[in-house]
Amino acid sequence: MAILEFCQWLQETQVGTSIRESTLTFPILEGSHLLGLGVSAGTIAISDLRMMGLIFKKEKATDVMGGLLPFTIAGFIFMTITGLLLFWSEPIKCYESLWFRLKVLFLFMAAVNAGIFHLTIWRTMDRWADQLPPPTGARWAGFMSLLLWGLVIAAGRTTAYNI
Amino acid sequence: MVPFLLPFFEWSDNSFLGAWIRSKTWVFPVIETVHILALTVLLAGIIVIDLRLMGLMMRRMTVSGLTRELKPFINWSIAIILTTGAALYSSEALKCFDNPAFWFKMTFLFLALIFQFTLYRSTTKTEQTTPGKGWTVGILSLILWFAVGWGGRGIGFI
Repeated sequence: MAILEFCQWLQETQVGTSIRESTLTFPILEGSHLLGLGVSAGTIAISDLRMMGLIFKKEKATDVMGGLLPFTIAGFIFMTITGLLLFWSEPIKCYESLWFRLKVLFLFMAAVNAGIFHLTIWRTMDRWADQLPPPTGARWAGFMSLLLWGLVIAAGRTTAYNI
Repeated sequence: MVPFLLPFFEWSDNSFLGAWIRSKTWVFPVIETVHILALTVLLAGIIVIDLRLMGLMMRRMTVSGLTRELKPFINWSIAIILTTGAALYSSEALKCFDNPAFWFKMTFLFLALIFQFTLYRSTTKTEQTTPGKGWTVGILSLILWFAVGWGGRGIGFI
């Protein structure tokens, strides 16, 4: 299969081998990936709770989410880089892992959820920024995001257990 | 590390809870996952308040206003992290006793908790904080909690 061949090739590249065989690089990358969760998934979770109208009720949704967004983006870029490097060091293990495949699926679903949100209810956010409870669409988008990112984290953590 | 505590570690390792967690393949990963999900919530609350203390984000809101909203999440996640952490520890207490990363983590956890409920608490309650104090408390908080996180990740690698 093409994907497996790609993973085999990737695993044998110099970068993949050096991360895998270094004593410190892999733990440092994984620790960074773990603690980066606070900024990436953490700020997403706060935005989700505001979209659901459960937190920062006195503040406008646009203020809360606008203030968090630069950090969400920075955190996401950081997680993508560290995540890709971790994958690069053990692509075959990831390919064979059910949990890793589930993680990719949940990531994809979270991206679709975010895409739908940005194309629809986000465009009218100025109009509902101080409305409580927020419109049904916003509450659903927040709930789905919270659920899917939680599943991404759970599947990601379980990937490391080889079960 | 601290020899007089060894009996306590032996008792934890032999406890019903520790033995039960060890006996099932799934229990440890499930508890660990809950531990990580709670860590995400805790770090999120701490980082947002710290960055606000430093004046780097959400400047439209006051530090105390931000703290009031995030405090329940921080306190609940600390409670969940301590409970799941104690369970994880009991399943491998003797391994932890010989693990320098575990002692590193516990030292910083002790310091972080004291800091969190003293200086941090009083600073984030006040409406106005000087930039100097905001930066000092914000950076100290980040260092302490990130040291706990790094130590925790280290336990599995050493």
